[in-house]
Amino acid sequence: MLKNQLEHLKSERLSLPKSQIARLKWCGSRASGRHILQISQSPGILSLINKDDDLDMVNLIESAHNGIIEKSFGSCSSFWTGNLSHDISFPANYFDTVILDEHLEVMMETKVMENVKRLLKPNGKIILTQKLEKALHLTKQWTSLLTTFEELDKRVDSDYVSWVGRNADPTETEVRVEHILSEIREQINQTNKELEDKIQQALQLKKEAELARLEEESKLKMSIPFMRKKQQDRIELMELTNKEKLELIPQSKEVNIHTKAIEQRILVSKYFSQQNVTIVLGETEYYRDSSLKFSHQLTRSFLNKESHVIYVSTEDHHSIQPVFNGSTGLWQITKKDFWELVPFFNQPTLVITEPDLHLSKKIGRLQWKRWNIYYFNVSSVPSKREAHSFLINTLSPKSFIAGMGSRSPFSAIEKSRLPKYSGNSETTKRIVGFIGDLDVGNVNYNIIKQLLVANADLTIELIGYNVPETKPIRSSRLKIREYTHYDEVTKRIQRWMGGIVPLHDQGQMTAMQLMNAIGLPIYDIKDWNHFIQESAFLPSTNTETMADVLEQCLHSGERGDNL
Amino acid sequence: MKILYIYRYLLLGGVTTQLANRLGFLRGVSDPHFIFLSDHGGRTAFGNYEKLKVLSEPAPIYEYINEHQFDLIIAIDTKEITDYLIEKQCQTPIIQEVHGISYKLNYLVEEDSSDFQGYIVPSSFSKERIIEDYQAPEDKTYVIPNCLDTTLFTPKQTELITNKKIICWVGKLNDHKNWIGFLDLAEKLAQVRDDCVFWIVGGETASMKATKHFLDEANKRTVSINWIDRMEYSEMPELYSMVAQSGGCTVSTSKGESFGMSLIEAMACGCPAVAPTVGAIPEIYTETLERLTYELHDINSCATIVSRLLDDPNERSVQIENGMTKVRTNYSIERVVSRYYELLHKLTKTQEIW
Repeated sequence: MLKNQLEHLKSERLSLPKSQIARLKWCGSRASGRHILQISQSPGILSLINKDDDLDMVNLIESAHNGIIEKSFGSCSSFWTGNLSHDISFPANYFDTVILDEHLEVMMETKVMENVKRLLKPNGKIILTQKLEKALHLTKQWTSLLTTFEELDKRVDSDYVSWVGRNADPTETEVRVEHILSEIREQINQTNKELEDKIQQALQLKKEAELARLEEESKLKMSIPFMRKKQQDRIELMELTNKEKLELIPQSKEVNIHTKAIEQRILVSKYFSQQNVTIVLGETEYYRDSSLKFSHQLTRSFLNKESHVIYVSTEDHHSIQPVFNGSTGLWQITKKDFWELVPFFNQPTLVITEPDLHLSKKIGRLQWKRWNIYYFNVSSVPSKREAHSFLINTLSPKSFIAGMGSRSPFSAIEKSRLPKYSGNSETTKRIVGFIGDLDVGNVNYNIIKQLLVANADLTIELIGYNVPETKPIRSSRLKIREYTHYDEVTKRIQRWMGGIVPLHDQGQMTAMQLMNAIGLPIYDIKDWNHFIQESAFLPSTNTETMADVLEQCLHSGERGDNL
Repeated sequence: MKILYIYRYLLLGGVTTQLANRLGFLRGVSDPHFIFLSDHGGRTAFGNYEKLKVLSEPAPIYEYINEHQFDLIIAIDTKEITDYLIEKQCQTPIIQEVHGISYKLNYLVEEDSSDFQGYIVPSSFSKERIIEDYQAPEDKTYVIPNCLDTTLFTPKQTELITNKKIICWVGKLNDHKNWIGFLDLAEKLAQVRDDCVFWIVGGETASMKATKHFLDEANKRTVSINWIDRMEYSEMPELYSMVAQSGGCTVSTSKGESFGMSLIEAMACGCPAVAPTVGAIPEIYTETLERLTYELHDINSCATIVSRLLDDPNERSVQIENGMTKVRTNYSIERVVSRYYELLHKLTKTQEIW
């Protein structure tokens, strides 16, 4: 058992810092004699001395109860519990050495001092080691120690103070106490200072690196007008001196505007030096590959065609940082940024998926700059009717693809990425479903309710995006799930009998084409209050894929050709 | 001769362009200064000319005048400043230069013409208007036409972006410019021929409501309109040249023009410009050019003129040639500004005799 313990201690020693081992060795080497008492919670110093089998080593663990705790510790060492302020069951003048490992605080009581003095042989050694911070505040203990024992040696390292005394009458007690305390204080100050220096140094290094990085970043960001304001605000908030701030912000506004324009041109032209740039004026921010939004799918399909895409989201400001992903060739900017950057784009291909007045107004300007512009009319938007019909009907119609509502946007993405319906495999449950925009403005939840009421055994599953925050119908037979992955959707739809299109009037066509593309048969429901007829499906329409159309559009040769 | 010009807006617009055109000539023979009441970024038109100030308050302007001892002050549609100067009994003679169109000139009614050394207007039409409507003295009202930088506005080589003939309308989207008239014309022309495209250039500053109105009107008609909402002044020669090269023309449907600058710009680039006989336009359209004018709102005759321009190569080349000659002989900077300078000289001399 002890052997194991020692092995353990050895290995533990290995993990001690060198300075600690030096201290323990120093203390150990000053112990002499056969009988040694260590007052400690752990056999630290003891283990170092414990090379000699003949040693009688007693480790006293501070406790209210007296007694030996483990007899089987062998001949050379025994563990005892006891309290120095009570009687200790060892004869007087028994020990050659007493070691106090971090137990200086007990040395105040007279009883303890008497006890130690009694146990220790005349001229026997007392060795003490204590953490600096703690030792500094134990003035009384030091005084009582130094008035009882004669000082032989002491050692102050960065963490510990070690002290060796002899059981003999001391001299110059007060000077010695003062001496040892001032030495400790000095050491603590020095250690603190070193530590402080080290921290300062590390901080300085880190700051320098950060400043260098900021400067780089700043240079880049200052070159883009919409980033400049943000960056200036950010720098203003930093804990830097005015001088350092100035270094990060280009000084003169006048000069800045001038150089900025050039740098921006370089930046954009750099981007355009990569062939094949397409700008997609889309909907909301693009941050997920599996999005069902048309413009997102379009972006994905352009990226799959290895085109570089600048995706312009409808937001005026990004909720996320502007995204530039070099590896995929996607650059996401806001509409505001887009209009600021327009003068720098060099005849790119522009694809519009959203009609809006602002855009209708400015589209001519882009045509004048000889941009290739394609407009995809995904769904008719009544509130933006003017812009919509102006875009598709009146603007130089030859470079537009008008009336795209008749084509399935969903097949723009690769066929393999589409969920596939291969027929109802389970017949025990009657499930129908819908995939698409689940917003309450799009899906007519009233007719879903009617359908649920009319078909008591029917379960309706809705999968898609814009999931309403609260379930519009409190029925366990209506399941609403967010679209996550096509694999999962594929798995789910296999249990369906078919699809339904429970929409308000707009967007029905697109939704139906989506279902067709997946292969889902769609129920022809004329009255939502009636029982679903098992075989009443709408005839499926054979749609041309978006990819084909795109191909046609993009490679239709000279501008002005009829598409 | 030390001249001070005072105008309200320092922006890249018609008046600023005129002032900048004059500066090129005047700085060689006199000492022109400019004061603008507000800065909207038109400084570039003046290069880095240093005697240009933006002062919004009348008092510092008065100080500036006292400091520099000008021979002549020319105020362009800036009533608040001239009122102040008259009240302060400023000794420097003031000339009112009138550029605005009629409805903007009501301020002239309140003014006492004896306070001014004279009035300068860009056309005889304007002269008649201010004499009749605002009792300006006929003998003190002088006509100096606007001038055009004919080095900038010349026919340019362009790469066509359409293979059809462009019928182009240039102006702001307001009622006065009568863009609806152009939509009517476009619809009419589109019914009988399919070799045209219709462009509307201008209207960036139009409000959302005006934009909506425009799109509504455009959507109502069975004709496709291409709208270019903004074009830089320096791009205009390219636009006119492209229109000319495509075999098309520009059409104005304006209800009134005090001068008709855009027509002259088009002509200078070799682009025939069809215009109604309103305001000062007949003064420009003399001799053969008269054949390009029509009665305002007479869409049928306008369509006939356009068709003839598009189909008759002889007529087209005659009109282009005459238009370019007209501009070069009557409206080039050298011609106009030297006349203008003579006039200023005369006006200051009158003062000396007094």
